[in-house]
Amino acid sequence: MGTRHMFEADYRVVQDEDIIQTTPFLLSWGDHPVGLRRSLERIGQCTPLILQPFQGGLRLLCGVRRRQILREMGVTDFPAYIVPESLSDLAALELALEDNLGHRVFNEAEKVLAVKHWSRYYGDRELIRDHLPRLGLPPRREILTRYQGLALLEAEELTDLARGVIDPETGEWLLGMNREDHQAVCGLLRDLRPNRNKRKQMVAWLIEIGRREDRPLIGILGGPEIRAILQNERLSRPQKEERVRRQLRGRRYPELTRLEHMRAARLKALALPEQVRLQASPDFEGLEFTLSITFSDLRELRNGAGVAARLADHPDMIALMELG
Amino acid sequence: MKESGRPRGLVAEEALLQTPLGRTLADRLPVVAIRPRIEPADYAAHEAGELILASHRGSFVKPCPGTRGYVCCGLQIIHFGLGCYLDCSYCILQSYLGTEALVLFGNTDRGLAEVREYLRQPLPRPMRFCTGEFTDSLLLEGLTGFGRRLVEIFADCDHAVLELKTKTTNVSGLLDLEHAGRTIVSFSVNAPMVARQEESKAATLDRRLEAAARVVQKGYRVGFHFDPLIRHPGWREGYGRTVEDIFEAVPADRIAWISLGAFRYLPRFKTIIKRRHPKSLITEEEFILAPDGKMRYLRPRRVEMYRHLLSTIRQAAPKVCVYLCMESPRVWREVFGFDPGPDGLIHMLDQQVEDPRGRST
Repeated sequence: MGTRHMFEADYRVVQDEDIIQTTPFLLSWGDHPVGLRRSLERIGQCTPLILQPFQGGLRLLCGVRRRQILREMGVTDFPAYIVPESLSDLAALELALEDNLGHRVFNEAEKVLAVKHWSRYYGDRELIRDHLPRLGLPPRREILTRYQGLALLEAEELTDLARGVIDPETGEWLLGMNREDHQAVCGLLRDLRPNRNKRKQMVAWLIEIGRREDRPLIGILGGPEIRAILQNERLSRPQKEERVRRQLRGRRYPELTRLEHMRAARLKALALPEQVRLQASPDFEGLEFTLSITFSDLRELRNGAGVAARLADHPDMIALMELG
Repeated sequence: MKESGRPRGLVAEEALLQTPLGRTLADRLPVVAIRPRIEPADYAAHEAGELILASHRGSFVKPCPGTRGYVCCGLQIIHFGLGCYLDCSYCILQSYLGTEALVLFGNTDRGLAEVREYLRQPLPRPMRFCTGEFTDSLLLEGLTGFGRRLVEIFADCDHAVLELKTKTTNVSGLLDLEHAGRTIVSFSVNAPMVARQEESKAATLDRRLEAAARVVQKGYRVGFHFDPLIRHPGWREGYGRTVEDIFEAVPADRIAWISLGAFRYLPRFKTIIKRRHPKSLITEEEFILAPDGKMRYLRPRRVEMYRHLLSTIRQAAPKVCVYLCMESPRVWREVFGFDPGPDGLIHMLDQQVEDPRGRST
């Protein structure tokens, strides 16, 4: 079976100065893959760039990263395929995409770029059905809307997206914020680098606190409690993250936090021995309490059972039951 | 009532277009697609404003599934359609189907035959049936007349009642019927601010109460469902006002029951609310994940709301039947001083069924 070619391409070595600055279908964003630099340093360029004549020069369709690294290494001439000037923009875009998709996984920022480019040529229905899956994205309208929206992120935030400092869902939430809040939240995420789940939780809490208290997020993050945590040099990054999360949770769920503190105080007041454990469900629905006795001999069992039997009349136990 | 979301086009199974319902709908709506067969998996491909006329292949009568650990009212559901265009921000129907289209089951004759058959059999106890579980009972009444047909069926039955639950005022078609007291027309109600902000496409509260008064004049009993109760600034006064308005609109002895149910939702539903109703603040309260997998207000907060509503209702009508929808025995005890026990709520409501013409207990 023969190979299908979309076009004929010339092969030649081009000078860097012949390549014009326009990169019409930029699909590379974020840090260079470590392996690429190592490979180029070790054996040089083995995959040619793909260029197209454009306005008297050559525009770069594929090989942005290779060219950039090679230039940093002092290389000024590059092996390249030159595709015909007559090749349409859509065909050139598809060429650039397939060249990239064929040998690597796009980061989230690059998926945003791909969707942005595609959106110039395809309708929504076609994009959802045929093209989102090419990026490994589920074919759903809200996904398209999200990635199209993320194209509005500033360059620095797109880099955050590429690096995983923010994820697409968080990015979408950021776009709903004013510029100052947006920057304050990004700054917090850069400082703390929470994992994806914790990040989403923190940003969701922040947004909800802002709405509940009718306050800008920059004001919440700039408040004395959060500032004190972030500026505390004795705390490691994970410790800061944990404390900021606890602070935000307490502010988002003040009543629940109050009940939790009351429960903890009552449990402490019961002064249960180590082998007797009392657990209530975290929801305060009061539907289920669990008492467990750990023992290794009959004496320990007798002791544990005695403690358990006396609990029913203990005022703190009664209060715990009322708490739920 | 605002018009957006009302059916503007019909998507129908070919065979159903030959039924009386299919012909009526095709006369009144442009037919945008005809398909040999429409499966539930196909619903998601359709958009707001489309009415899907499909065959229902399962059972039309099903018991309310209830939830383990929470007290269920034991309704039997007559399943005649899915979805609602009233678009209330808190409504679970937004997330059920994966589509904003409405689905109407066109094989109505089989559905009604199933209801008749069900009622012909000796029932173990008085039964309550409802059509408003997966859609509003009277939303499309003007197009379908389905409620009318059910009222007539239940009029001949002395051991069951039909409850039609609605947030609309589409009661005109019921007024001339001989219902024999076997139909209760129920209205979902809320505090004025919630009705304005979160139920913006439903009939206004005043108009719902006017509709309640109209059906009461024709001898129907009515029900009111404060569900979902939503905490918001001024909720005490707001719900108090609605209670007052209810008892100004209808006499207490024509009220079969009033239910109270605090807002609860499946966790994944929050994203849908935020996307579809970005200005809504209903998920900003404090919620816990309850053992039934739903997000609920903290128990003390729910109890506080229920007690307030109960006391306000009791002041106006000490004997009216009030119950909690899907609450735990513990919450029942904290609100009423007792829990109804297994099947207790069912018996309590069944007593209302046994006394079709009037007196509330």
